[in-house]
Amino acid sequence: MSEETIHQYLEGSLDEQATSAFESSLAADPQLATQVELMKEMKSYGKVQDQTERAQRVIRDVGHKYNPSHQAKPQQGEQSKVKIKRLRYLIPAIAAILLIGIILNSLFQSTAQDDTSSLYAHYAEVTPLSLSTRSTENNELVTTAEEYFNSQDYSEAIHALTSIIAQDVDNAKAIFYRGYAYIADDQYEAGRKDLMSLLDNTLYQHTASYHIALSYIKSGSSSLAVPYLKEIPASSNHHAQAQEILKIINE
Amino acid sequence: MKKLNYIKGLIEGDKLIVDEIYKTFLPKVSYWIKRNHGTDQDGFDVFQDALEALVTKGLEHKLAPDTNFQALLFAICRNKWISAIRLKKKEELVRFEELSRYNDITNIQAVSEDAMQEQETKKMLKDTFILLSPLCQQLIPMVENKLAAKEIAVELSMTNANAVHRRKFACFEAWRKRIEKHDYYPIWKSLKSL
Repeated sequence: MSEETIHQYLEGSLDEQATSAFESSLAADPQLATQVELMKEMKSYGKVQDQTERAQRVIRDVGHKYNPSHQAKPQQGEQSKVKIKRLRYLIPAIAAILLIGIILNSLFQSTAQDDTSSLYAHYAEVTPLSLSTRSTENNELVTTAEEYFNSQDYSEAIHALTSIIAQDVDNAKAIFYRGYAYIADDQYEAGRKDLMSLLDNTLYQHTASYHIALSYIKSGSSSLAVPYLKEIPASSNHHAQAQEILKIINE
Repeated sequence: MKKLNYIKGLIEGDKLIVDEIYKTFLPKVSYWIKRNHGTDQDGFDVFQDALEALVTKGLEHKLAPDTNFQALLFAICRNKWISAIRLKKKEELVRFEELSRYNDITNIQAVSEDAMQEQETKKMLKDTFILLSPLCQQLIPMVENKLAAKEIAVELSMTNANAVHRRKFACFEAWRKRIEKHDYYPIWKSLKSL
């Protein structure tokens, strides 16, 4: 039974004959019955999701002042003034420690940055962009996007790909390559947004997960890459690389 | 009359009513939980959780208009605390006589247990819903609230109504697949097949 039929049944848009046939199958097939129950839950959640979120936000906001852990926080006032007085003598020592800390941190950070950059460069390669078979109408735009992307002029490639996507919002390939280009151009949020929109796309979902992970590595937040790398199944082309990266991160 | 207003106020996010609910009922729940090996923080957490469960129930019209708000709220809190301490193996220490006196009210115990299962189900749906693409997260509520496909297409910058339909099925399919991988799914499935 197709998902579309289940939707139609639950929405009451099947005709009488189809409805009674569906109900006969439903009575005879427990698996279908579970599917229908789940779809019912999903549709019901989808319907009230906004309102639930809003109501729960109010419960939490109002509840904030009744939360014992919030009430237990120390009061500001005289006590803090005394603390500041005591701290006065420690200020030169703290300043010296901070200065040393900043110097060491910048040294470590540049090393860490180099490490993550090289990790990204090593693992982030993609095949050259080729969109030309997809469209016959936008040839000039397509050629421009391909040229810019393949010559690694990512900011221009982003412009061209954005024009292509504006004319074909479902063009997953263009969305993927634009996401890649954004990340290569250090525009991480925009890149991840594109790639995340492909997580439901059967063709690109694992590649998208892989490159979202790499984007976190490139931006220096390797720990955030881990769930995306772990999500890549053994059947994916990126599985072996994902496992290698996970090993490196864990080391 | 007031019982109905509490539910309505919760669902509509009426801050004054929600505040009154905390003021009126939280001390009683906290008191009971403290007498049963909990802390003020446990009382607050259980209470807030129970209010969220009531929102879900109310929004899905699963509460009878004459439901006793206080009895249901206390029954949910009680069940939640028992579940929590069951994990800590302290169940035998709970003094049932206080909040449980409301269980005599018809159907309250069944409704409150049902509310807990529903909350788990909602958590599963929420955990997986937020993993969907931003487009799907916008599209599903619009579709389920019967917005015209043309309007949705404009709102979400999609090409046309057909694209909306196509995407709708893809979004639901992606969501279902994620649900089927959720830890709670096998439990939900077994409860449904009972």
